[in-house]
Amino acid sequence: MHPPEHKSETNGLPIRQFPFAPVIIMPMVQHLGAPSQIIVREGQEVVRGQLLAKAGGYVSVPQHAPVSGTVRKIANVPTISGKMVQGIYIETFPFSGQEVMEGKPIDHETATREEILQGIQDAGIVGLGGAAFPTHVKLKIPEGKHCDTLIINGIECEPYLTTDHRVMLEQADDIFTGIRYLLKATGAKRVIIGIEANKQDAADYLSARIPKDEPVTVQVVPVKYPQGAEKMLVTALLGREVPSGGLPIEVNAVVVNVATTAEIGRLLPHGRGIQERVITITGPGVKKKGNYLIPIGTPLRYVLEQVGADENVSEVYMGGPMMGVAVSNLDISITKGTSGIVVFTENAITRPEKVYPCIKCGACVDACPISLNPSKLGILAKFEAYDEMAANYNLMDCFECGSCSYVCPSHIPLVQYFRLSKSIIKKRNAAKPAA
Amino acid sequence: MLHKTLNISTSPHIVKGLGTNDIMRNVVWALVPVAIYAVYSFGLSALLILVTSTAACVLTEHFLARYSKKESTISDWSAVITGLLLGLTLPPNFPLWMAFLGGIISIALGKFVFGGLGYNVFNPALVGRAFLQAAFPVAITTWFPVYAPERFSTVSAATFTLPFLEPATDGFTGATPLSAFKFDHVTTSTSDLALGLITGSTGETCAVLIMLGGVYLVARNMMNWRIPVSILATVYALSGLLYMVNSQTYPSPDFMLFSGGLMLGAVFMATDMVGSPITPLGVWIYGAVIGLLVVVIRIWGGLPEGVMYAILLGNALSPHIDNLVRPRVYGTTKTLDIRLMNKEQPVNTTTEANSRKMLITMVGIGAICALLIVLSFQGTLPRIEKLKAEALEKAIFKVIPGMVTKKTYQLEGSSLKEVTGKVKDAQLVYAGYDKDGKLVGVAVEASGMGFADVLRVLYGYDPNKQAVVGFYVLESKETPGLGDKIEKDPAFLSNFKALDAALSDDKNTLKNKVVTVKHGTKKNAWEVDGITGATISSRAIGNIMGTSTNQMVPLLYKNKDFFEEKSHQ
Ligand code: SF4
Ligand code: SF4
Repeated sequence: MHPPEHKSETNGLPIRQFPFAPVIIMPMVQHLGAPSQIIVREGQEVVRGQLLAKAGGYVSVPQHAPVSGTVRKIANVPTISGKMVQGIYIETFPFSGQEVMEGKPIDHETATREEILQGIQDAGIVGLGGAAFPTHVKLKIPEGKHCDTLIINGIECEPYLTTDHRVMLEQADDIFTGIRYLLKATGAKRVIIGIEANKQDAADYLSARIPKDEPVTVQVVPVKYPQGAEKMLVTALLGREVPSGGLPIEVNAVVVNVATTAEIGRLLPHGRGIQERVITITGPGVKKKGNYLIPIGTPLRYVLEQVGADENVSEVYMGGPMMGVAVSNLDISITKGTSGIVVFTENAITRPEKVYPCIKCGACVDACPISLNPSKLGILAKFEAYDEMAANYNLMDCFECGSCSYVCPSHIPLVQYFRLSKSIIKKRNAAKPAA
Repeated sequence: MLHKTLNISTSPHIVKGLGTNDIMRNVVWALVPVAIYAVYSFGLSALLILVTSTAACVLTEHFLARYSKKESTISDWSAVITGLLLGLTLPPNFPLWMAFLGGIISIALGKFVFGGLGYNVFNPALVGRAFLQAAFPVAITTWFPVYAPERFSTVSAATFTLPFLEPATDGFTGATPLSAFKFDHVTTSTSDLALGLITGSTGETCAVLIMLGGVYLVARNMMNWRIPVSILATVYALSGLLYMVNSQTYPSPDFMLFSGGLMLGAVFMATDMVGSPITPLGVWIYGAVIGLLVVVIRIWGGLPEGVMYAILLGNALSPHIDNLVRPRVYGTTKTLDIRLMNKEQPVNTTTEANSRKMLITMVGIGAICALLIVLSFQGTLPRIEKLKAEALEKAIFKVIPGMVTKKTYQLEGSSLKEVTGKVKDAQLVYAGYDKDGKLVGVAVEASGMGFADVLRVLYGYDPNKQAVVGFYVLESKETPGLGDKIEKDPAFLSNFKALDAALSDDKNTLKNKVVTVKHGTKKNAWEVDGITGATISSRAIGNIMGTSTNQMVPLLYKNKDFFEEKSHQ
């Protein structure tokens, strides 16, 4: 599957620092897992990089102040899912130099595996590719398993997005530093940086800079959506198939996003927490397209004002157009998982509204990267035969890449059906007493 | 701008853009050249058929949608495709009201009862075609000459037949309607078939245009090329094998490929997405099954349109094929029956219930169709007999020039007795008299083995001239375009305007037996000048005539006076 890439609009634009918004809004749920626990109070002055909230458990991360300023309010704030969660409003000091607070550095030479994992959690790092799963949890090798290969994911198969591309071209040192931490944390013997063929320049650039004696190779894979999905990448690079329902560690691999790697390499040597991230802002509705380093918590409205959004803006996606989520409320803020903001104007949207019946054309079957039968699943979903979908048609393996919906000539919202069906099944299973 | 309400969509927010209606519309475009060629070769009648069947489908679709209070689905173009395809599979001189009825059945029974587009099991056009085949076996096997000179100014007399009246018979060439189609025979040149120079159904004649349409759709990614390829390859390979085994009994693979409705069926009907499998391997199997069925039905089945039934069967099988060859899901080891491995999971029975419903519907439809077939066969039997009798009557007047009245005699040994009305299983001869009651000839039926099947002919013998004076082919299944020249070729037919049948001196045998000679070598009045390219068929005629005249002419001559006397009684 090859959706139009639209990457050339921003892939040549270097990363630029975004201005600090007058007010920063930090939701306490920016990651998968338990909410962070606020440790500041209203009226308190905070310094950029200072801890605002500590991790709410093992599967959780702390939050750091993205700006120096005053905690104005602790209240419920909107999030992209529409749910209100606890959050912090910080009024930015207008004339501060925004120096970042230093913490306790972690040296990859001397630190133990556990210390590194702890350091990664303390830095508040989550998967920056979009999933926002706490990285230290992902890196923790379960009892009885071992990791032989660490895969750095520089695929970025989502159309429009060039975040990882720019990071690879501009933050090579951070990436290689990050890799040292990751090698130690996972115990892997080798590292493969996987890059899609449309970013040959990044592949060449990184290859030329691999530090001596590091077990790192750069491997270019064909352009193919959704090549960046973990399972697809493991198969493309290692020829191993991750078993249904399992994680890459089942086949002795761990996959980490390249921007996440760079962030680890930048933050851990200084003991800092994450306060900003690279985001591609693009799409037909944006005047100043580009790749920006944006403080986390910057309100979306402020971002769009700064880049000049078209007045006919109709849809805004956080993430790419394939898997990103449409925004209904511009008062939400940038979070750690925001890899891109794509703005569409009314006339750029070519998506037809009319849904036809499934004509069994098979396009979805051809497109599904894991050989599911979305046509059949879609029909079953209509009949609400959720259990059969899971039992006989591997519904739970669907990772919601959206390929099926993208190709469907009848414009059936297949992946939407599957998301709903999956959540219903998960709820049912949770309700069931463990057998 | 930033106060505007934003539109919420679910991911993916972009789509490939190729819509179902686009696909359907392009299939229509691909069919247009085929339709135009059909009109060009068959004239107005063909145009009327196509318009009628298409209109019937579109109107039915519209009214059914309205009746079921749904949004009209005409705009998806699928009804247009069904209508066009149906029209293209019908004979060009098919009565319009029947075509209209076929269109209604296609949409109502072929699509609507299943739940509309996408839910139908069978190709709707073929459902309509199968219905027509069952209900009107006569009309659907009545052919019309290709490139008739007057095709743009007149329409076939059958076209405007009123409902439930029997169609006029101007197109008759094969007198037994339930007999096999003409195209299942061997010698027609492949290039003629491919270029549509041979008669057939309205749109099945030009294989080249059909293939071009297919190539267009494949190039636009709107058709699964594997289906026609696997069907055609299977047909070719299988019939090639048979041909190698015995080239006498089995038709050549080229012929199989380009004759009849195979091309249209393989390219435009088997590929109907709704009725074909969606798994990659399933598609190949489906094509191979259809190809196999086509060969089997054509060669051994004795059914005329093998392609139609093969595709319908393929349609019925395709969900099962899909189920059998499900691709292995990434990260699983399960290939075939996942259900077995998930025994502990309660399986929701909704879809099971639906399959059962579907099964019941299908069995119901099957039963209704079977009933219809039986009824219409019974219903048409007397009519067929009547048509046959009429055809014979006409033929008698053709083979005896100048006759005005007719008397029928039954032959018993060597004597004759006059009969009236129906006589079963008797050798009859028909004497013709002019307006003064003078004997102008005696018509005799004769038959023998032709190239493909039995040939039945009628000839007129004039005892006064001691010659055959007229000839007519009553029944022939010789290859269209070649063998059937024995019925049409004017040069050949002129052989029988005055074919010498003089008796030898003892009046017990012919002086010279009638024989067919090689084309251009006729020297004597008792020789029949053969047809190049239809050597076997024209020889067969010579043999039949030779045997029959040898036996009958002395007998008839002896009774010459008897005939004369009878005239005055
Ligand atoms: S969304 Fe799910 S079913 Fe659809 S193509 Fe992706 S993995 Fe397959
Ligand atoms: S792509 Fe859409 S129309 Fe085609 S088979 Fe899949 S669900 Fe049906």
